[in-house]
Amino acid sequence: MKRARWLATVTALALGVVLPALAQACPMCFAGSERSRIAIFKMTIVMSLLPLGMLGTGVLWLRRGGRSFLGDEFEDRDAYTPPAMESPESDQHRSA
Amino acid sequence: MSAARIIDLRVHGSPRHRRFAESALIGMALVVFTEVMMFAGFVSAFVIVQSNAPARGWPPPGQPRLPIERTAVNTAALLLSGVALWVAGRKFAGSAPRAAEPWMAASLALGGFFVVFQGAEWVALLRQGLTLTSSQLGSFFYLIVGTHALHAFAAILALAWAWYAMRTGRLTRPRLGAVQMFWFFVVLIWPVLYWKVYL
Repeated sequence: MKRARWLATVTALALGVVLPALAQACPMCFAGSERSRIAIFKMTIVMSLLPLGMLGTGVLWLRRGGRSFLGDEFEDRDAYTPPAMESPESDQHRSA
Repeated sequence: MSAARIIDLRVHGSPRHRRFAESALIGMALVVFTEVMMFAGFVSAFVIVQSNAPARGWPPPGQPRLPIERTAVNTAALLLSGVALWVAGRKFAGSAPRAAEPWMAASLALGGFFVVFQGAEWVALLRQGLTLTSSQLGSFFYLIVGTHALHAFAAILALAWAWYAMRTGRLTRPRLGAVQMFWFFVVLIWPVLYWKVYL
């Protein structure tokens, strides 16, 4: 039983890999001249990388700008020194 | 408006808040991002259609050749306009902001020259038979170059506003930065369009 399931899974996976190649579902990718296919491939790369490049540039700008912007954010807090605590002895003197 | 107030506005923008980046710049960056993708889509479609044409079939038979040489001159004018605006931005950020005015005017004039020259070219091409429906070249040419011309026109209006605001002392650095960003987009995308559509 186990072996039958395993075989069925492997067969399904193999068909899943092989069949789309036979179907050639994308008419733009497989039809037309070699020149046309190269143009589609190049434009696919451009249209994929262009937004990623712009977003990457934006993220780098935010990181760089954010560091300098937040660099002095906690300066006031770090420079603050709390007032000295009064000792319990001085309280006893005061009550006496 | 006092000189101190002008410098305060010029350097700090709105004095109320400390900001990571000005809203005008972030908004314009988002606009430019979407516009770049729109032009990339247009150019991508044009390149694929052009690649489907038969050998020696571009431009399509009966259609005029695009004026490469004259448009090269126009391209140079647009690039110079970008340089002039860049210099104007540097002067405005420096110690003598008034020195930016002539550079701004030069940028505006060169941008205006580009749009007018482009219009004259279109009239000539229409007379030669290249229309929006005459061929795929005509459709894509007027779509891509026309959309760019619309952006150039809008950017010229923004430049004219910025120049006027500069003259009256109401221009802030973030606002000039936003106008610069839009104009630089119009200037820098044009060589790509020229390369893909004309050459």
